[in-house]
Amino acid sequence: MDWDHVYRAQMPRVYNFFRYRTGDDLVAQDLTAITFERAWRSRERYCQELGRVESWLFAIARNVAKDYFQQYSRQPLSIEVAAEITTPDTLAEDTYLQQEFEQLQKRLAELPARDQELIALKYGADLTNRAIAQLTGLSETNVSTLLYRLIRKLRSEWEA
Amino acid sequence: MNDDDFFKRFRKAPPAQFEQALSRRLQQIDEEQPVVTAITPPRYPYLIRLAAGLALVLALGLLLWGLRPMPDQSIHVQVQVATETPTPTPLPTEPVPVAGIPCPENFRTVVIARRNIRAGELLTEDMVQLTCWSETDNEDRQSDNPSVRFVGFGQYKYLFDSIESVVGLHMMTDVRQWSPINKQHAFRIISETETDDGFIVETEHVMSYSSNSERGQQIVPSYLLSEAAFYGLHLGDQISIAFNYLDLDAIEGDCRERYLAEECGQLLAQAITQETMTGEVIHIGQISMASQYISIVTTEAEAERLELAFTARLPFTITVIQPRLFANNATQINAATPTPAPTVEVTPEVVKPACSEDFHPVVIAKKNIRAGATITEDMVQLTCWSKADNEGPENPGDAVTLIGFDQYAVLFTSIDEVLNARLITNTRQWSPLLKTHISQESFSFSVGTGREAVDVPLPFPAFHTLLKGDAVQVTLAYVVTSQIEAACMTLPLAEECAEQFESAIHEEVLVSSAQVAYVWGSSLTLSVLPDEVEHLEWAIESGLPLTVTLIEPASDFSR
Repeated sequence: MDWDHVYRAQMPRVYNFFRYRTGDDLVAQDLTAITFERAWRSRERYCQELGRVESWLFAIARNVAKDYFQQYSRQPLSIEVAAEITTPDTLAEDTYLQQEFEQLQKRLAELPARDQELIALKYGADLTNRAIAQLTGLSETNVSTLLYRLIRKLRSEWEA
Repeated sequence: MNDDDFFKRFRKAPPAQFEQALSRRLQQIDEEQPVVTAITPPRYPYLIRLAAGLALVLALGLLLWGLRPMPDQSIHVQVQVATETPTPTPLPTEPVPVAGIPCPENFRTVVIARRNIRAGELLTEDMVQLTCWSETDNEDRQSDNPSVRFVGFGQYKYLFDSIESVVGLHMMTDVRQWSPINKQHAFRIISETETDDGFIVETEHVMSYSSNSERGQQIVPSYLLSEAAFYGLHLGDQISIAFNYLDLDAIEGDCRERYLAEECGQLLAQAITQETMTGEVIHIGQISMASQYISIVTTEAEAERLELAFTARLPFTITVIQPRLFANNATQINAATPTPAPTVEVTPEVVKPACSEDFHPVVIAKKNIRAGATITEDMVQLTCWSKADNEGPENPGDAVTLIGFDQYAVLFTSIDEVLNARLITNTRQWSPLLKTHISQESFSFSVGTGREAVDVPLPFPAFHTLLKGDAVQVTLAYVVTSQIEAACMTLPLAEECAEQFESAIHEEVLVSSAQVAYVWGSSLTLSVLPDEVEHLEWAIESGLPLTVTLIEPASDFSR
């Protein structure tokens, strides 16, 4: 197993999963670091042929997210927290996108935790519906139905 | 902008500084704690080659015996390293050494949890420890002294006896501190491996091979399991697998498009046919927390239908119709148990044992009781259980520790309380009767503010694994057969058929998130949001086949 390759390929996806999940770049960095530390420490137990490394990593990432929300007794991104999110990145070309991301986070905050996670797995981590189904225990059909409805809802609200 | 572009445009690369810092940190971990990176040698291809050469089941059995889990290469290398470098003396806070502990005669080494372990957690050395448990209290036989009984696990074969064998496994259920790690509730993440001859699954550390024998065997993906979801299935369970088909031609006019319109309910119900197949679970394999594979033995004809349904990825429901527990030497108990003939020796009933201060009266089963049975006096007795054994971490080294139930609140203290009540799960001999497993309509429950209670019938009374507090989803799933070409309804399926089936599957989520408010013998009371009640009640009244899927089990710690 080429762990360097795994790190290079998966780290940005894990990082973006946490960004979409928490809406906070710094928290996302912390949680990504925890995920990789845990994975790194137990990587000798990971058996290449026994499962996709992606599933293994995201199973750890989901647990890390769960621990994070439990530990700090936070709702998965409350509306209040989403409203306070600011980032130091104020480059002109990024500002507009950042504002839109904040707007998306506010809308996500109004959704149930499961739906927030589905969006983060799909668009933050860029996972397939099948991979999401395996991770979450939902059927693949159900994942695509739920995501379809979520996206329609979010986009119609956005464009309203 | 399409949806993908719209939602993915917020992704960004991690800051370079962070990336470098994390990379350095990972290297540092390696320096602090050298990791043996030897990858376990591939076992599947080896097994496949061997299995292909063996036609007889007996030979296969011998092979499987020979393939019992051996220390893998990485562990072996670690042992060698350990002999070269003196192991530092463990600090007081470090876990108990993994080497075997000497147990006195009649005691066994058992791996127990050092702390509460949540379902899904990866087991590591620091989470478990070895202890000694009495053998004699654990036999499936009546002891002279029933005051202390081992509950839940009748046989040590379900327990681990070495720490190495549990490290790297995941738990399917919560495990309370000082409880044993049960093999049936632990799994190793593996991937599906399919061969021309059948499938390979791994369960309980035993490589198993299921081929298409004359009786027919099929692997069923269980991510669509409903009542039996998660850890509901056990080896030996007799199960029923149900598929729903909808004949669109039987539906007229607007109802083809508007299935859920009120006036279409009856029509839809008539057009849906449910096909069921039965079989016995012989293997359970887990590829992740959410994705499990089972292998079942069924008849050849049913195997063919099952293969068709499986290949086409049809939605289905699995229900346990005969649990494994009493598959052999079953004690058949009917609601109307005949009065014993005078010649039968009847043990004098213990009305209420005088329990000493440190013991607590508990109603236990005198014999195996099947789910659905109405409890009569001859089925139960009172006994005394130690309070101390059942209360947390102060006595982890006790020879006999009661497991699974840490609160006497869920146990009955008087036989009168349970008489004529109906059990909703099997109860093993000498196990306690739990209030949560009794169907008794006088029990009160709450559905939560702003929610409404709806009773959802279960397809089969009695055995299922849903418990109070579980979050569930209710769906109506069916396949519109008229959207599938006739050629695709027979085996072997052409490649393009899969697509046809997929597009013919209709799944309506009637209730996206309900909570089980109460479990009755043949129905569930769900706590449902008001705007979802109408659809659900409509579907129930129309007699449509519903699937109740477990989304998230209520934690054992919160029940």
